Amino acid sequence: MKGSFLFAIWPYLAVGCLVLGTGARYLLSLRSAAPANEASEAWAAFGRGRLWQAGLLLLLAEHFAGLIFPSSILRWNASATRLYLLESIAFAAGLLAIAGWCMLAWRQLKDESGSWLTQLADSAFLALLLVGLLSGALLAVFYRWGSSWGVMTLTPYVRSLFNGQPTVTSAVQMPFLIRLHVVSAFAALAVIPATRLSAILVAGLNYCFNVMGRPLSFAKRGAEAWLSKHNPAAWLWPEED
Amino acid sequence: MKQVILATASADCANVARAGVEKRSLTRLGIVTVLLILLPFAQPSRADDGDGDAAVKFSPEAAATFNKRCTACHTYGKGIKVGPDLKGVNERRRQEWLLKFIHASSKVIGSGDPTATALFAQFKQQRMPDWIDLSDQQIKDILEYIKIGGPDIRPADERNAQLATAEEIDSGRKLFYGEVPFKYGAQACATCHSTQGSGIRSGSLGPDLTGVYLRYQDMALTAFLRHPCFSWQTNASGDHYLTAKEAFAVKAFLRKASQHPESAGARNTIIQERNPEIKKTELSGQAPAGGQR
Repeated sequence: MKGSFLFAIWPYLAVGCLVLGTGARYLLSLRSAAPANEASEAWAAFGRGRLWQAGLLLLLAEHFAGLIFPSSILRWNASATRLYLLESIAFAAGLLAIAGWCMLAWRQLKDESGSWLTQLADSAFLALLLVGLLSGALLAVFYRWGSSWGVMTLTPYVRSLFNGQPTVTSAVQMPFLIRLHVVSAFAALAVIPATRLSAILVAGLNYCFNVMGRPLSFAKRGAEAWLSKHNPAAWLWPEED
Repeated sequence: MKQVILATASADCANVARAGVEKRSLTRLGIVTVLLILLPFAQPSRADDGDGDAAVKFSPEAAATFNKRCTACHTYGKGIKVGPDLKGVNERRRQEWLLKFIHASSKVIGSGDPTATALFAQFKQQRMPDWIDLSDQQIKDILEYIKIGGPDIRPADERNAQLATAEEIDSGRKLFYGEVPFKYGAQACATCHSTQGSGIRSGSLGPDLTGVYLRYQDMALTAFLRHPCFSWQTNASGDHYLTAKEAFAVKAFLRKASQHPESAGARNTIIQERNPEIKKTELSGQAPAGGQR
């Protein structure tokens, strides 16, 4: 029961929190005067730091590669040399991200801006992120070659979540560290809307809507120009002119 | 002066040329290194698929049809049931006759065929069903299955691992560690498991398999190796996981691993689990206290 909640229900709840929370923050931002400032503040708080960026980007790239190209990863890992190379890069990226996290946390400690609620949410997010990073690094040490066994066990699990039919058998049988890694990652996603980081997502949404709205506004302007030139009312009801 | 300029120019040219050569050499070295890394990635070698000359070939569909439709009335080498024993039927009858009889026995009996009439009389006028839905090829496959041993055929993986040759054990080792890939894309056992003394190449997610042969013995291990460890395997399904030959080789390797001198500890633990009355001192080859056994 606990396993099915953590691995079949919790991921959807977490993503639901992220989507709905970000949506709500977006709607609130429409009233705000300076959403761009909030985004740049959020970037300064969470996105700055070469170590952090490099480590996090590498880690994300490796996780997504395992999710999208599992067969290629397994073929790559068929050679011991390449396996060691990939695992070393992933482990180094993890260490970089942990170092980056320390610097980020230090900056957060010194930063007293924002309400206590935002600070609490930021701290919770950072704590969950640390749990994810540390559990990831430790599982790489204690359960060797995660890039191989991960794509055989966790990739099908995550894909089953995307399909809407979660298959939790392999995930619930994993050792504690691996389960902690998965659950903390979803928990971090769930907390994002309450943090300052959500301002970046809101800015992203704003940009997307602007881009999507451009063809519509272009079509609207064209239609208005056409209507003013060829007034259909005059053609339909000429006697009224 | 002119000579100095010429000498300087030629030295510059030489430097530029040398730099160009060095750059080209480095580029070539880089290309060769990348190719060396990618070559085994692009062309993985294949394991012996277990369908070689030594293996017995038969259609699994024919075996299934035989079990479903024939065994209710016929035996293979165990005498008469409702109809005749089918062992040796290919030698007793011609294939054309068998095809006709299996498709429409009533028609053959009705035509006055002496063999069919005699069988009809011998088996208490019990007529065999007309298997009109079976194609000629399907019947030929069933007859071939009967010819090569029928239900007596034992899959290659059911052989006892004690009978494995050194070559088969080595093949199992290579498959276990992924030095040779499994035919249907199953992952090497060493992705998650290790054996005693296997080093860092082996994974540590799953248990050490050093004592697994002793723990489960031959038959249970055979049954286990017929199913994937995970429900999802690249290019592998329940029907195509390991070939019988691969499963046997892995089993043979695990038996060998259980006899490794360094695995004595694990071996003793398993023996003690099975026979709690055996003392540790007896297992380690030391005389128990008092010197009497």
